[in-house]
Amino acid sequence: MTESSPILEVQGVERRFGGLVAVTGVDMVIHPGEIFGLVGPNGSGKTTLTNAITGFYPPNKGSIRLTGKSITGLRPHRIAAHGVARTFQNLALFNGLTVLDNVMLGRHIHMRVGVLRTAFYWWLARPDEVANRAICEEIIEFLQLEGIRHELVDGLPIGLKKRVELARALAAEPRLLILDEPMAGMNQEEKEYMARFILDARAERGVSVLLIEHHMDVITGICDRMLALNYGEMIGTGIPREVIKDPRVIEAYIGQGHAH
Amino acid sequence: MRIDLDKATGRSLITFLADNARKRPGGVAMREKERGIWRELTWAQYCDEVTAFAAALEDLGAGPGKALMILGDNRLRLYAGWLSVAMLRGYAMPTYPGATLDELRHFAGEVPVMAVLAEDQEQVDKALDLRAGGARIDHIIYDDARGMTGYGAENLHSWDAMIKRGRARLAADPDLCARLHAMAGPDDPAVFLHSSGTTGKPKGIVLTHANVIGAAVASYRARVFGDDEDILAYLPMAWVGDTAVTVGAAVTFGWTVNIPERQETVMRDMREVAPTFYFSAPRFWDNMLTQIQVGMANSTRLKRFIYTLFMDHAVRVERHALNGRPPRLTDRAIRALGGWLVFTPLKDHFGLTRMRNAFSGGEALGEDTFLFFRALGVQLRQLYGQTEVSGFSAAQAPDQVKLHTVGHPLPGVSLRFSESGEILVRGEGIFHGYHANPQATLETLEEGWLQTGDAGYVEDDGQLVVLGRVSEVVHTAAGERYVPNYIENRLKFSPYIRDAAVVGAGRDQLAAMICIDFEATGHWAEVNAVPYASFADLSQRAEVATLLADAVARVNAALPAGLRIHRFVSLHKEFDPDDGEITRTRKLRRKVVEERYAPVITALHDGSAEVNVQAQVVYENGSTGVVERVLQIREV
Repeated sequence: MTESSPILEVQGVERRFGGLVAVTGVDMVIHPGEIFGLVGPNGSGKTTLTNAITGFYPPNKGSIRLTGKSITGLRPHRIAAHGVARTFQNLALFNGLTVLDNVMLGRHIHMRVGVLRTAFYWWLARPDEVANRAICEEIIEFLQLEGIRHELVDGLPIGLKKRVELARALAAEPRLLILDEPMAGMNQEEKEYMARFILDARAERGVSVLLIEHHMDVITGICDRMLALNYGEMIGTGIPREVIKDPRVIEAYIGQGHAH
Repeated sequence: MRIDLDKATGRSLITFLADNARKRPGGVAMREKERGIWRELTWAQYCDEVTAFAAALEDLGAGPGKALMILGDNRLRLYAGWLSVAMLRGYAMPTYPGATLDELRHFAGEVPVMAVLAEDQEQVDKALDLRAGGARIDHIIYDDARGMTGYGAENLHSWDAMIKRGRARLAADPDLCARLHAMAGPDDPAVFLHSSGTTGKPKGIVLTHANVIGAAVASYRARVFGDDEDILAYLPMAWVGDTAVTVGAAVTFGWTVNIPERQETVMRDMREVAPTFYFSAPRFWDNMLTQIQVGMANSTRLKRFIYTLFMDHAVRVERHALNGRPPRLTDRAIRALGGWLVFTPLKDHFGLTRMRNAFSGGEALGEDTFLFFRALGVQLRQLYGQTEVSGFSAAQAPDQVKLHTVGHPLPGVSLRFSESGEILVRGEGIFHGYHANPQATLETLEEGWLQTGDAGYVEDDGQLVVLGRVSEVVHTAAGERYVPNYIENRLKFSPYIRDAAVVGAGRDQLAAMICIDFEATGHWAEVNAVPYASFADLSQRAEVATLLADAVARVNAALPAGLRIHRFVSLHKEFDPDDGEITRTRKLRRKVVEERYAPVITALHDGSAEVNVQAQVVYENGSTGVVERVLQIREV
């Protein structure tokens, strides 16, 4: 891991909603190939920080840089084009479309569209679509979704929907993948599968991962480093096993009375 | 492709492979779905691939007496590797994907394994475990390279590297290809399979090229399959059915083999391929029937109405046809209309539109399933075979189908019956003995006659009826031979019968104890306004007794006179694994049942109209209790 060229640098980021300070003074650096955990109690600002990075809620203060280039305040689709893809805490799939179509949608930043291309579909758009489909199929194979490729997302169990969302994010071929609670509502087996897929995505597809997660066993199991938030402020960062021993983190998570 | 049937058994599969490549180089040999898209391999390309892999295998030391163990689900390259090792006169040893390490270790001890051909990382891990456990495995070759980058094991090769190596050898030596193709003869091994091993360790079964080709030719002559079949390779590679169809027949006759993407996508792939030949256990057909019924139940009211209208009519016509009454002209007209409106779209949805030869085998097929598919226009037939005969030994012809038979013996196959009623078979497909097990061979093969271990008889029209295992045969007082399990299975085809025990060993007549299917019978009772309070109550209702009597009568109709069930009783409780009456897999524990229900069995045979029973039950908390009931005995 080279310290010199981080994938993501967040410096002194603050985001307010009116008088409410959701996130303040957050510094975070993710290196290439790193799986970085972001934890904190409900309402601690994890999702707000994510939204600040992806451009949904541009930060009021501080800077965000992706592979050295500033993306602070850029619109979300511009940031996506810089190689950032994400999944959502509450699933944001198109229920009326098939798994394959949902994954294909992840390719939108790589597809060239236009009236002319659509008018001359067979000559201008189709080769592009075939090439993009090939990449989607690669990801479908990678995440073992072959069996449900043509099924509507609507009827799938939550564990599979989460996997489809991961597939759609990977289809964008991102450099930074942001996963917002990918294991929420999953059983132990589904969690283990998902953890395996995240590790494989890094090993085989070379992505860096920002993982927001409540399950501490997952954080300590697969994350290289982590950051803990509470009331919008950083309360600990570093190697997971050390961070979770920090009294401030224990207090935020479990409460003082149970700390010892 | 048309071949000379009479000379076929004097050749090897490899000569057919080379012939196919030469005579129809552009014909499709294999289709494999990769990343959602079917990719085709022509006979010329397939033959090249097989030859190149063989060249590399020879380089690694493959040859006579040595095995290539195949681990994985159906994959194109695993089939190619199979033919490559057969080309080198070695043993192709396919295994079940679910085989345990113990089983594999046993296989590896039978013959030296020069290489394992593994589908993917998971199977490579298995091979490495075997190796670590002391089994001799010289080389490991893998097909799918995913996840293999970090592996540093000794003698580990990718398929692509092997092909490269083989191609280099072939390029350096222009005579090599011809030498490889001419190597194997008809008496060299085509495959090394194993018996199921339900009793003791699985026994090794080597089938020669002549066996496999002979069996394929006999099946072809019996019209089990026709020319230019397009088939789906979904059967486990270690099962003889796959050897017979996907390798034996497909290579001999030059068919197209389609390989499904994964086990879970078989139904979808089948729809896309629309195979012309399909062979499966009854379970597969049952599942498809259920899928269609569930689909229709969720459909719109209009569609359901039209479906029911035509399907019920077609099933009725088929049932009449089965009973020997030919369809009338109006029936044909209504069916034609139904075919246009309902059956063809349905068949299209399930990949049955091109189906010419559909088979069920291995177990008895239920009447409902059978009639349904016939009504749909899929001429479902039954066949019979085993590993030791390289495939099939009897099959029904398209036009002479009965529900309880497995058809005429194939051309070239002779049948005989031993004193005990065991089916003995002789023909070109019969194997030459178990591998390194002369004792078992002696017990099974006698002057070329294979003792199948199955009991059966031949009907007047020459069709074979398989009753079950010889070890299950019992006799009535009149010396009439029967297999209780055979009759029980047929009783269980009724949706209202969950379990049954046929009794009559040493008695004059057969009788049955029946456990109703509480769910189905209960539903029937609700629909027909029959009140009941409990299982025991429902089981004794007169209306239910009539229902059961109908089911018994229907089974009786297909049984020889001496084996009909004359009296039955509906039991007040289900057979329960917790009570030791059936196993966890729902197989009857006959001894326990006969002991526990001895008074009932006596009453069934002594003419009483009812019987008082006390049954011991074990409650969920472990305590025991006694249930008392009066059971009515019914005559049929």
